[in-house]
Amino acid sequence: MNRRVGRSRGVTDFEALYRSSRDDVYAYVATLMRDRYAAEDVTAQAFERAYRKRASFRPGRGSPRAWLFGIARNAALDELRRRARTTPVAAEPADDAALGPDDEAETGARRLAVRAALHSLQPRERELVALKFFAGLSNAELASVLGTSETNVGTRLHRAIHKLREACHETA
Amino acid sequence: MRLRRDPDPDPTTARELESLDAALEGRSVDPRDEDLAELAVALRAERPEPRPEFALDLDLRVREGFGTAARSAPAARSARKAAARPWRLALPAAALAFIVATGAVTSGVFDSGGDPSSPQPPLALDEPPVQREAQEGAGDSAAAPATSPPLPAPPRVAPGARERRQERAATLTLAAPRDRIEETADEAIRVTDRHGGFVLSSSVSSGDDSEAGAALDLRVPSERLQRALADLSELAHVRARTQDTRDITAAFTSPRRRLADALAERRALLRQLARADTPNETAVIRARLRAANRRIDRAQAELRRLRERVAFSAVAVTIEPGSASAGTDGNDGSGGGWTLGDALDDALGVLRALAGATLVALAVLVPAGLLAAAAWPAYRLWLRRRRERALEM
Repeated sequence: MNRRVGRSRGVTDFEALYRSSRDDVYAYVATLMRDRYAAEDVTAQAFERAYRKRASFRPGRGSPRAWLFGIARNAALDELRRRARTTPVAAEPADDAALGPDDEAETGARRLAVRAALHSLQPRERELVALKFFAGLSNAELASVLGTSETNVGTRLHRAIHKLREACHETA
Repeated sequence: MRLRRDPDPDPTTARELESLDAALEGRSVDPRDEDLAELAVALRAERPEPRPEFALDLDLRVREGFGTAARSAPAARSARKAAARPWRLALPAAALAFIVATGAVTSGVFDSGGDPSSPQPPLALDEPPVQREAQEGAGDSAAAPATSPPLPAPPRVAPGARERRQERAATLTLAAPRDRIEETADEAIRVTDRHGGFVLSSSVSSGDDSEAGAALDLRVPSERLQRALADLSELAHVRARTQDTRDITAAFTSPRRRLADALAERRALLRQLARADTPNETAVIRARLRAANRRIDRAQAELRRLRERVAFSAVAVTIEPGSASAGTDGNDGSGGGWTLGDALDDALGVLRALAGATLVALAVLVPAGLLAAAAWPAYRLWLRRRRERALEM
């Protein structure tokens, strides 16, 4: 999943990066947007932006995946801002469908608890969880995407996980 | 930003984070963190998956290099590119144009010959307003000396405008080779004649002694002063040139009044003379008439001198011995055509001015660039924070 496709300058094999990251990017964006169709639009937009800017990728500034997720994050945040301007209603409409089409087969107390705990997190914490557990980024890549240090990311991730664990126990 | 160094996590935190990574990668986990590993796996199971039709559509678009998207908005993209390119060029082009224009203007290349000592072009022909003298008295013009040159035609003065009378004077110091001093003086006299002026006095000393030189006191019609000076300046290298203008309108007041009084007195005396009965009375009136006539003559003469001072400008030309290179060969820029030397001087002037303008531009641009570079990280941070506020909405 973490296949590196950058060589010297620019993303030399964009298709490989796409294949390894498509579902991860979608999962992350869907968590941010909480709207399946908006997530699809933003995901497509992110890949198109990345494709057009692929020559500007600098390997020294992070992995191609971190670069791609930075673009996806900006696209998602821009869309959220745009929606907040045009839609004054709350920006977090519940979209259970985004959580997976096969809910019926795997429903259980544990999963419901996890889902509820996830919803109880702050948006920034939920983003962190999405990048880590849905997109599969390493802590170094997380730091690159979020513009902070790896240590800070670890601390925040640890805090979010404990909140999740506590929320799960409370639900259980 | 990553400027601040965060403290390393405590061992428990580090271990739990490692356990999370291990669980996600399917590796064995520390027994103490099994619940965390289960949570990680459970979270992983909650990952949203894209619809197959969306994934397929996106696959196609990527394979085509987003050609579909490019076709869907070609006009917008081309317009954006067209708009972006000129802006990229506009700033450097404007800066270059500013530097070149400043350099060209400040270098004086557009001046005549580019040499400050060269004759000034006859652009500022603010010829002196040689005013028509009011009718100060009968027979005034007839009383002008026959030797005086004809007065220049008076310029047109706007009706109602107050007529000012100005006296102009100029000095010109020329440097000519010793063997050409006399010839230069002769040429100066010819120039004066050509412009309708005259020589009040001249003194020429030629030869090899230190006294060699010439001094000419010229009178040139004021309305042709600039052109005459330009022609005189072309005779040799100009070492110095001055011009002086003085308003002498007030000087006309007193002689005019005396003239008017004397004329009135004369008219009255003539009437008394006509009525005189006795020889004694007649003799007294005639004596007074003669005195009145003398006053009239004096006032008229004074007015005439004043008018001549207005009509003719005094030009003092001094010709000094100078090097042959400073002669009239044109290399000094004081006369003749525009030569290769002049072109070289002008080119150097332009380069100097360009360097100066560039320096000035750099004095502005470098601090501005440093400020912008210093502010750039803060701007990026502000942008990031502004974007991230969307998460809280």
